[in-house]
Amino acid sequence: MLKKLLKYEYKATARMMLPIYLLVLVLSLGMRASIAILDRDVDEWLAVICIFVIVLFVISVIAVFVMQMVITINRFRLNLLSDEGYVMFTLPVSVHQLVWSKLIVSVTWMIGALLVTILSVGIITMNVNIFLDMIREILAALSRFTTYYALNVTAVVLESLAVTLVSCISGALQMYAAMAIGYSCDRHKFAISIGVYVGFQFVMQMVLQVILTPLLLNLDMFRTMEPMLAVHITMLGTALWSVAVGAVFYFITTYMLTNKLNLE
Amino acid sequence: MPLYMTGGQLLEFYSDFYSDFRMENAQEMLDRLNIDRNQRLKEMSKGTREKMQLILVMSRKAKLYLLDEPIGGVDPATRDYILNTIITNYNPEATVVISTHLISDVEQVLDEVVFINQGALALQSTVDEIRGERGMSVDALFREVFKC
Repeated sequence: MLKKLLKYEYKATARMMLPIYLLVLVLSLGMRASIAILDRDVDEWLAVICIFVIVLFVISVIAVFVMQMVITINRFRLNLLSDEGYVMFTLPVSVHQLVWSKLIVSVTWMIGALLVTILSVGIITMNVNIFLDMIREILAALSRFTTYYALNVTAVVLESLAVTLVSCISGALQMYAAMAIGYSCDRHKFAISIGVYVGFQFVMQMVLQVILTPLLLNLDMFRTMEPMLAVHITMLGTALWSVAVGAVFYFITTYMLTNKLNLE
Repeated sequence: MPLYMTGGQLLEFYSDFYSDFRMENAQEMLDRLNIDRNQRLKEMSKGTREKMQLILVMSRKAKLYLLDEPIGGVDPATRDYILNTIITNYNPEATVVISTHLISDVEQVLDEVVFINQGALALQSTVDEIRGERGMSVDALFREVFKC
């Protein structure tokens, strides 16, 4: 049943995400052309158009991530907590399957947004001298840095990606939990959801501070440690934290949807 | 209902999730009620959406149907069609419970009547009993029981 839910969830969201992905890629081609044109001496109005295209590209990249966020919120809010909820919660599926279907699709579009952004940067930089020089500089600096501290860049990159993924998941769950609570109220549902979200943020900061303070007081421990080990510990700590808060938010979400559902 | 879907997509959605969904019946009803299967639910009128809901529910081969004010927002001609649909789709093993204020409209299809007042049972009787012994319609009896 989760497969079927996913099928309809992808269908419902693809019609919004795919066009905007395409827009970013097309504009990145435009950006590439604009840079090439600006590199030469051109008359003023052409330069204005080129700069306009570049601005559009930047806006489109921002728009992809904003759109992904809007979809994460709206698919949960409209499909589960508004009028459509009557259809969704009477389907022969569990609350867990409903939440997972939303979560998996949301994270897919997030990963897609990252890939599209990387791809568009690739399109722009391919064989463009200024960018190639810049990237070469960055890579050289990075390699000097890594040899100095004996860091394994591949491991660091892979671990950062894993941490990003886990924090995306727990970030989405934080919004779900906030809405599951906010929409159980009779009025001002959305406003309360935002308040609850901010409240979660506050509590998380407090807890994190309580956990981190003793660590920060023993910073010497890190100083004597091998740099790579310190990176591993930091990454693992961040991932574990995200998994822990994600699990709490997942529990809150499913509990509220099971016991306190209050559809319009 | 998912407003971004078309009528046809919603039927597919239902047949995907419910194994007892009878697609042919659903499509036949859609045609008879002149609902365009390519129209999005967002663009449908309130009455048409209610018809859609009823089509979806009655197309399932269930043992128990619970219909809450199923004919509230539709015109009298459609009301008749819907009631007919309920009767013709009637499966001898199934029970249809209709809660409504429009008694005279549904009276023809009723077997048994339950009057509820402020959550308490006011009367329970078969329609034959009401007509035979009291010599009045369910509608008339209702007006008598709930006389203000």
